[in-house]
Amino acid sequence: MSKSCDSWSTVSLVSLASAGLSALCPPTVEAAQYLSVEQAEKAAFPEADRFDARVLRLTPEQLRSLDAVASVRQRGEVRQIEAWAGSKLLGTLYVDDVLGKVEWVTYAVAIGADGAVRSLEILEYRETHGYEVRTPSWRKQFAGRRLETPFHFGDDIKNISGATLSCSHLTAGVQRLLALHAQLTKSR
Amino acid sequence: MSSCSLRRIRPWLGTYVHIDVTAPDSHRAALSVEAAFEAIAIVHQAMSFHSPDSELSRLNREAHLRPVSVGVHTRAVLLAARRFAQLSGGLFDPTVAPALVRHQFLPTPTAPAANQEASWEDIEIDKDGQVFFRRPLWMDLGGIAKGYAVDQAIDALKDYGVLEACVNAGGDLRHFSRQGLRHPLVVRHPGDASRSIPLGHIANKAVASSGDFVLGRRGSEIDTSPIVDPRHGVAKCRPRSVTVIADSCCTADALTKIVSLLGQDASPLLAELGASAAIIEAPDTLHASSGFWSALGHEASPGHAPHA
Repeated sequence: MSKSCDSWSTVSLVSLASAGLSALCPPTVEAAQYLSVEQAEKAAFPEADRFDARVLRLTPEQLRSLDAVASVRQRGEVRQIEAWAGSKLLGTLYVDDVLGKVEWVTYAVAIGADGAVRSLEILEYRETHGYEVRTPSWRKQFAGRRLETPFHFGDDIKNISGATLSCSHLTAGVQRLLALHAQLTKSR
Repeated sequence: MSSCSLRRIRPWLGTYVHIDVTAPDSHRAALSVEAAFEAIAIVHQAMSFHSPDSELSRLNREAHLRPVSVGVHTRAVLLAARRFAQLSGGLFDPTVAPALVRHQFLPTPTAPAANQEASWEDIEIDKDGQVFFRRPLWMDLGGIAKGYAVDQAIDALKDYGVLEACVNAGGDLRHFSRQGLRHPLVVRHPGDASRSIPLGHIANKAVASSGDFVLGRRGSEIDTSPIVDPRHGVAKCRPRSVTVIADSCCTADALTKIVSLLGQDASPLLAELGASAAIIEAPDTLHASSGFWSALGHEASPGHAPHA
């Protein structure tokens, strides 16, 4: 053993839990909403006076054609919201979900009248461990436990450090929406 | 006083960047978050290995031919990378990208082949922000730029007079609280990604973690660690993770790689930089450097030693 080990101490992870540390973490919400669709509309097109929304149900054929652009699991239902200022179409906001490695991510892409992406916002994001929240054993460790925390924005476990989650599936989702947008504007 | 809290997530730096902020009013909260994401976007665009348009990609293509000018951020990160390389005797090395490309952690860049002997010592940075490589090499600032981006975002938020903020870029995070309020810290279990380990609370500190595991990775490369030892190359994955607490996220980010490779021998360097670290080994062991538990608000180690 090297000399510098002297300053290190070793504990058992199990003993941390029994020391009551897990009680410091209030229960995680299953899915957190960061931005509502209405907020996303206003953020992307603040100059709009009217939003026309509809739900696009993608046909298997459409989904296959989008798979050729970029492959990612998509729900097949996309909300399309047009932003207008008077009779002028400012652009389109698409709200869509993609399946990431383990979780669905709801996001909004604003595409301007020039066809360029104006903004990309995550509306709803299941924490990277959201899938485990639904498993009873994980849930149980927090059952009935609540702690009054001395700050008001840390109301769930969000500081999971130690996992870099690739967001490549989101990039794929955006590429698909851009392709879909091009198809729809062409067929107009 | 009525204040406004806001949470936003956007994809940057190859991960999801979470920003939590509490500001005196909603207008300032919204503006500060925009400014913070803008600061992150600038670092991302300058230092992306994946994008051929970044300053970093231009360096990899041209800096061995002639000195190339870089912006203030790329220069700052290069200087920091060089400092960590010096401090660690070359264990931290931003030129290990060829090994990461070979093992599919990074895409193959459109740049001339890297000289196999090249190392961080071949990078020259002059005072005017000109960068020259003495040999063709592939530089990747992935081990440090994310932390730097988080620091830039926190600075932007502070400029807007926010009361509380936390910026988390896929595990590299920094917390700020004007009143010194504390923030909970949880890390993932290195042997089982579905388990989380609550460690305590930080206040006005940065935290970075590196694990050998990469979530969602599949196929033949699943057994390979993304942490490359310049002496021996890519190693096998071990169910182990390293968490570093420091004042800046850039320092914490760089130190995770050094502690991963040096283990407990990193003590003098941690002390020199005012940082502390924990090495978590599956199934049940956490080794904490001196100062780790106190940085998390504990007077003494909160657990007891594992049974021998």
